[in-house]
Amino acid sequence: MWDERVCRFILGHFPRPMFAVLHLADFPLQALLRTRADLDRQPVALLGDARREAPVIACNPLARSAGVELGLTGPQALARCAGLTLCLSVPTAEADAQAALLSVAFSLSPTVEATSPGVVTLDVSGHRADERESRLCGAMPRLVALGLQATVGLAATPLLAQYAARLAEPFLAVENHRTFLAPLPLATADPPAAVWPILTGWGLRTLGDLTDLSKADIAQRLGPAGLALWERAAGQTNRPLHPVVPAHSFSASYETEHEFETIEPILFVLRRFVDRLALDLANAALAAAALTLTLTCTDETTPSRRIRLPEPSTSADIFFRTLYTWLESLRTDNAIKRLHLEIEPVRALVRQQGLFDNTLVDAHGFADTLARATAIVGSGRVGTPFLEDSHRPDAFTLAAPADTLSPIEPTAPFWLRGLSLRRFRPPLPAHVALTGASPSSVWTNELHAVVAVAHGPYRISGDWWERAREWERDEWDVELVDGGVYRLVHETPAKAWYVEGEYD
Amino acid sequence: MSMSDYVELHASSAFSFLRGASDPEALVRAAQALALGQLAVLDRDGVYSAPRTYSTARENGLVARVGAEITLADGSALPVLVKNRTGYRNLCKLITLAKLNPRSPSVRVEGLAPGEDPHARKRPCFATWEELSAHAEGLIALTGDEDGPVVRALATGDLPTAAATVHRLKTVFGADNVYVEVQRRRLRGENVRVQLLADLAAAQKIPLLATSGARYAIPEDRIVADAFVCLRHHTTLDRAGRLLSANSERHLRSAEQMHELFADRPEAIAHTLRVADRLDFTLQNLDYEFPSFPVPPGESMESYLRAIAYRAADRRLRHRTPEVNEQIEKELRLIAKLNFCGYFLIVWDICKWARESRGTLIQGRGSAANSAVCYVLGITAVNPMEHKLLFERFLSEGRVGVDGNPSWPDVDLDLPSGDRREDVIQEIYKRYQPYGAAMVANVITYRGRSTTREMGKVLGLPDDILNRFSSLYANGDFPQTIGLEDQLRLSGLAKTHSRLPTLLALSHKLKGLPRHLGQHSGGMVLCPGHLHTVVPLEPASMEGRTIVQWDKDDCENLGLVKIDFLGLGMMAVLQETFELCAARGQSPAVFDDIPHDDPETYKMILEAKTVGVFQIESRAQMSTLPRFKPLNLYDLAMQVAIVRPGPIVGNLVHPLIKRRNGEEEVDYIDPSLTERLKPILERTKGVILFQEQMLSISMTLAGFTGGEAEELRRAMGFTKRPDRLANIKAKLRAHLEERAYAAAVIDKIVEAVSAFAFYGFPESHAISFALLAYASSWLKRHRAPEFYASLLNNQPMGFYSPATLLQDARRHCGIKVRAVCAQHSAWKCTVEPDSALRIGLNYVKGIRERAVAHMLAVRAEKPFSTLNDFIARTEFTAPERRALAAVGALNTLAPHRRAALWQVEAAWSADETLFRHFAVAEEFAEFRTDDSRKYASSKTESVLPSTASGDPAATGVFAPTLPLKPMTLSERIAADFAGLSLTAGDHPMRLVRARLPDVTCAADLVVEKDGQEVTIAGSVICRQRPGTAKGVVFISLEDETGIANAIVYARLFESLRLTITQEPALRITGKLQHKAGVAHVRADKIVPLRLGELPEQASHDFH
Repeated sequence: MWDERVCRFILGHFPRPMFAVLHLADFPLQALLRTRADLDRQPVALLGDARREAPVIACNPLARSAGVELGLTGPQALARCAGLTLCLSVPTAEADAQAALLSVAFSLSPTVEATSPGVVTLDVSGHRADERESRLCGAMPRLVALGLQATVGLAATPLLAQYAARLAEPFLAVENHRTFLAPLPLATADPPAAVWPILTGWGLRTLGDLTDLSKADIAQRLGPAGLALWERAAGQTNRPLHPVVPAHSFSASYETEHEFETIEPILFVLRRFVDRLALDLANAALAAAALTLTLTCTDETTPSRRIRLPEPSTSADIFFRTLYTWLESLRTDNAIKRLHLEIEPVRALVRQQGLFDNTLVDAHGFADTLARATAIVGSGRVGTPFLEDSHRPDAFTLAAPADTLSPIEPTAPFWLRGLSLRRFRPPLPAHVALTGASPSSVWTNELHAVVAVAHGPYRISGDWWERAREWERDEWDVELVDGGVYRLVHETPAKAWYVEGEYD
Repeated sequence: MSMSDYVELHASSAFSFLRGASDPEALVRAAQALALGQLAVLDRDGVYSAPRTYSTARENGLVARVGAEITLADGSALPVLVKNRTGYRNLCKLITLAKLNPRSPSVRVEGLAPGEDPHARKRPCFATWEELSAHAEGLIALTGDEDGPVVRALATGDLPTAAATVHRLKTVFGADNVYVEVQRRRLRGENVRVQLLADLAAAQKIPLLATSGARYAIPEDRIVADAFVCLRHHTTLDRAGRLLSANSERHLRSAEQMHELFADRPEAIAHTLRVADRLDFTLQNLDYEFPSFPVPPGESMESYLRAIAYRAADRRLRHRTPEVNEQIEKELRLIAKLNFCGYFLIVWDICKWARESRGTLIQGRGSAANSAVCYVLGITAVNPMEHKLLFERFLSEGRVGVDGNPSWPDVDLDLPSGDRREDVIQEIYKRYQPYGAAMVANVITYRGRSTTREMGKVLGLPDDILNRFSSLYANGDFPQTIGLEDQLRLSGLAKTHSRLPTLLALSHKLKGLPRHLGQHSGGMVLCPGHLHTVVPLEPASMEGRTIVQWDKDDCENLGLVKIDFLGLGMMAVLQETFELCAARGQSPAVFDDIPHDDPETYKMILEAKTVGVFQIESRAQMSTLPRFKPLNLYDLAMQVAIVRPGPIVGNLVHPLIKRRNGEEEVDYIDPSLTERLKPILERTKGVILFQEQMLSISMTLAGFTGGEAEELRRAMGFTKRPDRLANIKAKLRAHLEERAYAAAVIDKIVEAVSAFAFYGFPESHAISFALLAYASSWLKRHRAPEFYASLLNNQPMGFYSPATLLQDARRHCGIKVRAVCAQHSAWKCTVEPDSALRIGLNYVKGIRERAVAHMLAVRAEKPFSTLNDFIARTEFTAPERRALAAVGALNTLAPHRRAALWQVEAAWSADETLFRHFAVAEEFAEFRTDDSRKYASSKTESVLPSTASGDPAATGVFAPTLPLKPMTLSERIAADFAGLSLTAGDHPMRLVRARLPDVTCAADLVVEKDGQEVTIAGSVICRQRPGTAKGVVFISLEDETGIANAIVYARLFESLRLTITQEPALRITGKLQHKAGVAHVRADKIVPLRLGELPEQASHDFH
């Protein structure tokens, strides 16, 4: 048995447990807004889901001041604030915001728990008591730089710290848990959905109202869930943290229904990515060797680029400049709906040139050259062609090559087969004289002939719903007096004739 | 090329749902433009479009042939043409069989998706070869297009199957009745197909037949067909790929075009003429027969009808004067002459059965009210002789429809809505099963908002824009102030969006096309034993019901007799009120017991205290009542008829009111016409108010024959064919011009026809409705508790929510309303011995009727003594107990709502009874020894002694301190609205009145000056935007003193659309407008009224 004095000595030198919580209020909204420069200074509300009657689950101060309240439906919210932008949460934006929050948390403590979306709990027992507040508050500007506004709670249990963080402006330390808890709204203790209407029916508003009732009565009426709630409300709950390990891969993704049509919003999101990833790398004492940016367009094409850095770096500015150079030369036919950035980490000073690394003297220069080439021939003109499901002959799209070959489609019905057509590529522009609606003679650079027999027109058209893509063609099979059977095509809206090919 | 060189024998209309893209009228018009003499529209598994095709073709001088595409078990579609009446009967029977009969599981069904149940109601319908064979007589089969069984086989290169199918068709239909069908649409490969088909035809020795296979009338309609393909395959135009048509060539073609296309196969064209020559059937030969009625031995239907009519007359009429006898005799003679006795007997028998076997109120309305025989038989409640109604309006010898078929009147029977009406309908099905009776169909068409939304999806527009569009324009189309293009722009679709023009074009083209078939609200067609040989029957969406494939207009045009079994909420209210009165030993027990011309009732009507009353309760009606001043039943009939869109359009309201009030001189259109029009228009002071008057004028002034007048009547009510109205108006004008009336007179009369179109009210109908309006008003005035209890028990109905009805009951009738109570309430609302109205448990949300029935049973054995006793003896679940406690239903067993809420959560389970007994006893002993102790235990409630009133606090008996505070007044009201959607207490506006010093109460508006600026505020209970009011919106706000009405002009509405449509409570400022004691606020400013104490109330919007 130890002497009492020894025990007192030992306990006095073991730090008292102390926990901090970083809390991002209205997390889904914050996560969204940090990726949408266009919503800055706009009233914005977030809807719970895509249903028409979905309720508003968060809104920014501008929306709130215009009368928007949580629980209103989209139309009701619009009724109160005509300029309101209604959004849905963006899971990829939330994932990135959570990663950013964790990055900052790991810069404060090695023991970090990802408690819930937008909430991380840190064990700060090891911090000196007089430094805790300044260190925790010092993290705020870093979060602001990442586009996040956090509050911090400090208390002897993770739960109390969490409650404190919710109320902090922006920092709150809990000294006396009883006086702290009693006036807090009941919702602070996260009552289970099934219990909530019972408690409101009883007229309970605060945690103090709940703890004024006997614990046994609550247990009898509300069962284990009620008992746990009562204990939470009384500050009687403690638990160990479930620490997470820092990220081993360094990547960021963003996907939204709000498509990118210009480069600026893409750069805005990428800036968020590189700031956060640079912090992750620094936390892990690593540097970036290469960046791979993959974009996904609305037509499912995926322009992608791996850019090897001249030397490993942790600089967010270098990452950003590198990506900016490539994006500047990139042109896509369609808007972009998804971004994915991957960083290949290396130990900064011990990296050796690989034996099979490319032999380019200037990888950046090569990438720039390719990018410029694409800019000249146009995006969508590089890739593997795929036949479109369309009545339009030869309609195709360019896409990244498929990983596997598609199974061969059943052959066309036998009776549709006719003579083989030897195609002219490109088709020969022609002048055609008509008798009635039927071709009577044809002139091209190579052909000058009178039509002996004409069959047609065979008429096909499509894409009528999109004026710019609308097409229509009449095809004639003509036998010329001088011999030879050809296919003539008249295309609308170009109103031009072509000889498309010759039948064998 | 003459019109006799080609006949189109295979086209499809939009009634081939999601396949055809033009309505039948468009097809016929196109056929006429192309000089086609005959046209056969073959819709998929139905003759849905046949009446409309027939009728339009007849008007345009074409012959409409009949047929259909029959789906076979392999999913292919076989076109068949009707040769003769037998063929038509067979076709109807075959389709009925395929639609109604569940398929045997042994039948291989290729049309079904994997996992689809062949017995399911919405399964693809198909006929088996055996069924085809049994019904082949009188039909000609074509091999079909690419959906046909032969071409489908060819498409896979399966020549033997194609040949075998043709052979099988020959076996089934006979070699003379099968044609190999060839079509060309300027597509590559089709020549090879035609060649193969020609070879097949030659090998089987059957002729080739060319058709267009048109799915639309003109090439421009191809876009609709493509959009339908997307809807059918649940995809978008961008993703549909080769599912879409390759070109726009599937339209009707002229003989010349067909000859050009089939220049190499002239015989295929020639055969169309031969086939047409063999078709000897149109819908003119429908041969529908009136239903017959089984009569006692020795009686004919005529003698039996005569006998029962006179017997009934003795009972119903106090004095059978010679005039009465003469009228009855005259009617009976005509009924017999027209072979109509069976129909009268059937309707009489149904009414008798409903009344005597089921105790159901049933009352005829409409033109049947003109018949003395209907009146004495008890079919109608209005004595036509008393009201000088003309029998000829109901039945006359010369009634011939525009299609040449006889035009028979319907009998509309009003029944209490709900189970009682369903009971009658099921009885009809039972009597005439399996194929003798069916409901009339209701063709649901593509309409504004939903069409635009569907087409937006097909075009791949973003969901958020479409959702916003739906939200913004959720309450119908308002073309009078904002066009579709602007609506879409305001929903977020850029004006320059590349797909906007397409969306507009598609929305426009789809408007009015049939979308699917629903069932009519109550119309039934009877043809004992063989209705399915007249028109195919198919299952309705409601279990146990079948419908015919035609709607009411089609049935009427083809001379089918229809009986309307209409569910009327007010009939259910009257029935229940009579029952409640009887239970309390009061009169009336039936309609006839209600005293006529009661001055107090008319005084109440005059003061517009008509909330809850039939027909005259709307804002528009109430604002007219004090000016119109109805004093008798005929006045009431005019009142019912006057506030309708028709008269409003025709600007008749003000002249009629002014003339009644002596403010304007009575004239009869023109002084020169006074003598001729006075007999017709005297009762309505020279104003044309009723349809009958319009018809009389057309006969008197324009010299219309009975048939022409009938044509006018039907054109005015036939919503689908505005061209028909235009034609008859032109005819009327021509007739009037022929008779050299002044231009102004002619304009006036023709304008009146336009005003009447679609909305005109027949006089007899108005009188029947006036009778219901009077009866309900009398009951409101003299049996208010019973009337309101019944009203509350038959919701939803009428214009007002239960919450508003209750406020009105308290305000205007002084009814004491008692809260819902587990000790005293029944399932429905009841009237207590002291005439207080007790809210029923059916208003408590989330309560099962079965659990309440059990509670009522155990309560009847012994009242509940304590809350625990209640919990122990009832079967309510925890959420149900909670719901009861929250709305105060357990207050007689607990000190207050929260005490009950606290206690119900600590309910003992049934197997703990003994333990509970001891625990309670012990606690009670503790109580008695220490009454000062703060007692917050869960067992508090169980020790409270029960009292007679159920309120322990009131007894002065010891009441322990409970841990929960009672609810405040605003909390109680909020809980009432949350749990009941109404409150038996004060209106919530009373809670916030002190905070609205500048707001005028609804009741005070009448004392404010005309033109003064006022502000009103309250819960929105009604938003209306009549189609004829130039975009004006009427809003009714309710406060604790009554209802205040505001008028919002279109411009203000558009600028505040969402505020007005979405906010549950509003504050409206504007100038007060006063007229004859009716006050309206003309809104200048509208803002939401956001006060936490105001619960969201139900509003009756845009109906």
